[in-house]
This record gives sequence, C-alpha cells and structure tokens, in this order.
Amino acid sequence: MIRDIFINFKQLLWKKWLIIISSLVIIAVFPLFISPYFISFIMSIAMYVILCASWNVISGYAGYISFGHVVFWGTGAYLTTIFINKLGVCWPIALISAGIGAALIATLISFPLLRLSGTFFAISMLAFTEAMGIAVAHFGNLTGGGGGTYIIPLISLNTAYFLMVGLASFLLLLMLGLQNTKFIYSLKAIRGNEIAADTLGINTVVRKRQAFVFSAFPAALAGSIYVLNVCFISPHTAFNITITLRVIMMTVLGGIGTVLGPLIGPIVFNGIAELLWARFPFIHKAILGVMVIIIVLVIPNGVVPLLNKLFKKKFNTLKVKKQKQK
Amino acid sequence: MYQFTGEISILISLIISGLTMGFIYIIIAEGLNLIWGVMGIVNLAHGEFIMLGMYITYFVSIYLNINPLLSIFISFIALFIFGIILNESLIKRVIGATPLMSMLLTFGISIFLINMGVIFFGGDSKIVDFVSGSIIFKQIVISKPRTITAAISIVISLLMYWFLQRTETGMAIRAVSIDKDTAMHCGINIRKINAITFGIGAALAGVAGSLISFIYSFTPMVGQTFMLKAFAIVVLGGMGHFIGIIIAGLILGVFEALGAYYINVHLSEAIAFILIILTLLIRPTGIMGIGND
Repeated sequence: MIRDIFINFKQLLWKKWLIIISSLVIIAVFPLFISPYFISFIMSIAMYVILCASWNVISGYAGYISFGHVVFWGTGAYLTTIFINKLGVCWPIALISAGIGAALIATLISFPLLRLSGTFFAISMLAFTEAMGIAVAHFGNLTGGGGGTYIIPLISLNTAYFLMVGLASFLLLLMLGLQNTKFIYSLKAIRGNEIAADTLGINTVVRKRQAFVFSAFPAALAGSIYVLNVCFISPHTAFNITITLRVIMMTVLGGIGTVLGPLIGPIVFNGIAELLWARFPFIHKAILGVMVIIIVLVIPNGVVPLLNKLFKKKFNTLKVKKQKQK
Repeated sequence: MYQFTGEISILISLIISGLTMGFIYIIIAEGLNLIWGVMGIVNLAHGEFIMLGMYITYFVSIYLNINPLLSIFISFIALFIFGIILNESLIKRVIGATPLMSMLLTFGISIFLINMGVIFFGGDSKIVDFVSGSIIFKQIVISKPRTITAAISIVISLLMYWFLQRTETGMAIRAVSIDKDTAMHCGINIRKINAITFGIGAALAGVAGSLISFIYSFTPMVGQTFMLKAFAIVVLGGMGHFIGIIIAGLILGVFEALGAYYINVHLSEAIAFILIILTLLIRPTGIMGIGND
C-alpha cells in the first residue's frame, strides 16, 4: 500500500506539486505575520479539516454514516488529560498514547457497531456518544466529572498551531496519496454494494474495521492537541453533538467522498461562521440550523463536484472550439 | 390484610412509576415509528416537537388559564398543523434520498427549533403547576400526576390503534408502510398520506410533551434525550410492531426507574443507549421482529 502511495505521488503533475508545496510554505510562515486571534482561527479550521477528513474515510468512502464522530475527539482529549494529570507523562507521549488509546476503543466498539448499517449505525454512534458523555461525567475521580477538568499549559500557541496544521496537511496529503489504491477502492465498493464487494473477494469486515480505526486515530489526535492548547475539557464540549453535526455539514458542503471536500468545507463554513458570530451573537446556532437545511436542499453533493463539473464544461467547450477552427 | 413492607413496597412503587413513564415513552415512540415506517425518515427533530408541546401547555395554562388537561387537545392540533407545514415545506423534498440527507435535514430543523426555543422561551427551566402529591395504598406510593398521564397515554395509544386498524386513512397509512408502489397502484395518494403521517407523528410527540410537562421541569434543550429514548424503544420493539413497541416502552420505563434507585440517577439515563447497542447485537430485528431489516 505504501508503494501505491509513492507511485501516486510520482504521477502527480508538477503544477499540483507546486500548489501543494507553496501552500505548505505559506501556512508555515503564517504565524510570523498574523495576530494570535487569527492563528487560533486557522487552528480551529485545521481541527475541523482533520475531523472532516477522518470522518470522510468511514462515512464518505465506505458509506457508513457516523453521527458520533466527536466521540473519538472527546476520547482523545480526555485520555490526554488523564495521562498528564494522573500518570504524569510528558505531552508528546500523552498525545501519541491518547491517539492509540482512542484507536483501541474504536477497534473494540467496531465489533458490535460495524455489524449494523445505514440509519442503525448512525444512531448507534449517536447513542455511544451520549453514553460516553454520561460515563465520563459519572467516573469523576478519573475524569474530573461533569464540571470538566484542567491541565497545566504545556505548549505554546505556535507549537499547537504547527501540530494541528501539520497533522491536517499530513492527513490531506495521505488521503491524496491513497486515491486509486486498493484500500480506497474497496471502501468505495463497500459503499456501492456491500454484498457484491464481499463476493468479489474484498474482506469487507476487515476493511470496514480498518477504515473505522483509521478515522478514529487522527480525530483523537486533534482532540488531544485541542486540549493541550485550551487546557480545559468538560463532558459537555467533549461529547457535543453539535461538533459532529458541524463536521458532517462541512464535509457535505465541501463534497462528501472527495479529497478536497474536507479542506474546502471547513474554510467556507468557518469563514461564513466568523462573519455571523460577530454580527448575530444570539442567533448564530439557529442560523447554523438554517445553513444545514439550505445545504441539504440546495447543494447535497457539495462544492467540489460542482466545481469539477464547471471546469470540465469549460475544458470541453475549449476543445470543441479548437476542433471547429481546424 | 397483607401489608407490603420495606424493600418490596419500594420495588413495587418503582415498577409502577416506571410503567407510568413507559406509557408516555410509548406515545413518543409510536410517532417516531410511524414516520420512520411510512416515510423512511428517522425524524431527529422529534424531541423538539415534544419540547413544543411542553411549552404550548405551559403558555396555555399560564396566559389563558385553561386547565392543562385541555391543553393536550390544543397541542395535538397545533403540532399536527405544524407537522404538515414542515412536511410540505421541507421534509417531502428528502423522501427517498439517502439516509444522510434526511437525517441531516431533520437534525438541522432540530437545532433551529432548540435555539429558537431558547430565544423565545428562555433557557431557564419551567414546570406546569397541575396536580401534585401521591396516593399511598398499602405502603405503595403512587404519584398522582404520573397516574393521570399514564391513563391519558393509554387512551391515546388505544385511539391510535383504532385509527390505524379501523379507519380508511389508517389503513392507507399501513398500506403505504408495507409497500409504497402497490399502495400507489391501489389509488392511495402517497403525498397526502405522507403529510398526514408526519402531522400525526408530530402531534403524538406534542401530546407526549404536554403530558411530560406535568411531571418534569423542562428547558428548550430537553428534547434530544427523549428522541434517543424513543429510538431505543423502536429498535427494541422492532420497527413497525405495535405490540413490540408497547412492551419495549414499558421495559425501558421500568429499567430506568429501577436503575435510578438502585444504581445511580445519571447512569440510568444511559440505560436507553445500552439497550440500543445490546438489542442491535443480540436481536437486531427487535423483540417482536420476525423478518429482517
């Protein structure tokens, strides 16, 4: 699979490489020139890029719509606080082990939950999120209970920025490299028709579990970086359904099952949200609801397929014109 | 005369209290189940219809000085009309689309209603002052408002059963839930049936909300938990099984009451979610389910 990724990258056009590298450089030098507020803003976009891209693996490619993606984010955040406060490890180890811990939990719950499909899987994930929130609030001596828990500030804003943005860029590049590999193709086959995929020789059970764990790991890392930066987490934020909904909405807005969708969705959405937050502080959540409704009714396939269509049309018309001139 | 003593009287009181709550859960689950079965949509905004029913009862009893019991009719009619308007304006556009789209749409409606509720009704918790106190019968404590709401819920469930089994519209609704195409060939107006179904589902949720407002205090954010509990009941009872849903609702009510007393109030809230996951693991078709889904 790693060979496939390298082959994929070799085949990329130099123009695309130029765009990728220049955007990486711009993002890397950004914090030198902008205010801390703007750094936090870009960081929150990067966090949603990570969540959207990881949600996209299980729900976009494999078609298993999860309404509880925030559970991995929250688990990652809580595991980090537990590792730092109770075990006293340094933050890089806490970060990695939080990711691994959440991946282990994902592996465990994948055994019952991935046997379901469609609506049942979606709502079971929702129920699992609620149950986790209640459990975390209940076992207070470990997690700090319903009031939340603190950690001491360990990393600077710039470190958090580089971690979050770095993870987001790495994940997007990985997804780009994974295109046209067996992994993504088998997930797409599962989305198309699971029984047919099974008869074609794809081990659907294993593939689904891989996709599920693969989607949990970066989400947990994002939660871990979030809590290292913010230093506070409560069950109400960690298992908040609104975050799941935002993730789903941004991915749908960008284009579900595409590489660029999880990048464009959060940028567009957070850009709009930033304008609305400033102007209508009291009704912004109601506006969020209206935006969901509008997106579902107007652009259910997202922006990226729309753009693709537009550009293809342009290219086609150009070709036709050239042929006519001949 | 035999007197119940100590633990046993507590246990019986708990079971009765659980059963009374279970009857209210049944009405909510019936509405959710009806919409899911007929239209193929999991209505994630169902909890907010309950919330609207609660506030209708609250405002009617405060400002119009009408007996809260009569407000049940008002919330039924209001939510029925609201459901039909919602269906005609939004919901009917996602019928037949992927589950993601319908769930996202209803979730959007849910968020919108919650936050509109916070803006217009305020975020503080309210309660309807109706009856209070309890009957003590041979050491068994039975709460008065719970008994009244349970009796009303049973009547509503029976009426619902009669409506679905005996009336022409009810039969049409059942026909659509069994086979849409054949129903259409038999001359049933699917659009009209969908609208009526959504209206009735919303109205049942509104009535349940009115009933719950006699027992619990409420805020605009209260709906989500009830929706998830109703979903658990539908999953446990088996989609489309009237009897199964009644049994599942009573099971959930009793388990919650027992869990709250013997384990922990907060953990009893998680019982519904544990039930969902266990049912889907052990018997995905539900306790009364025969076919597969």
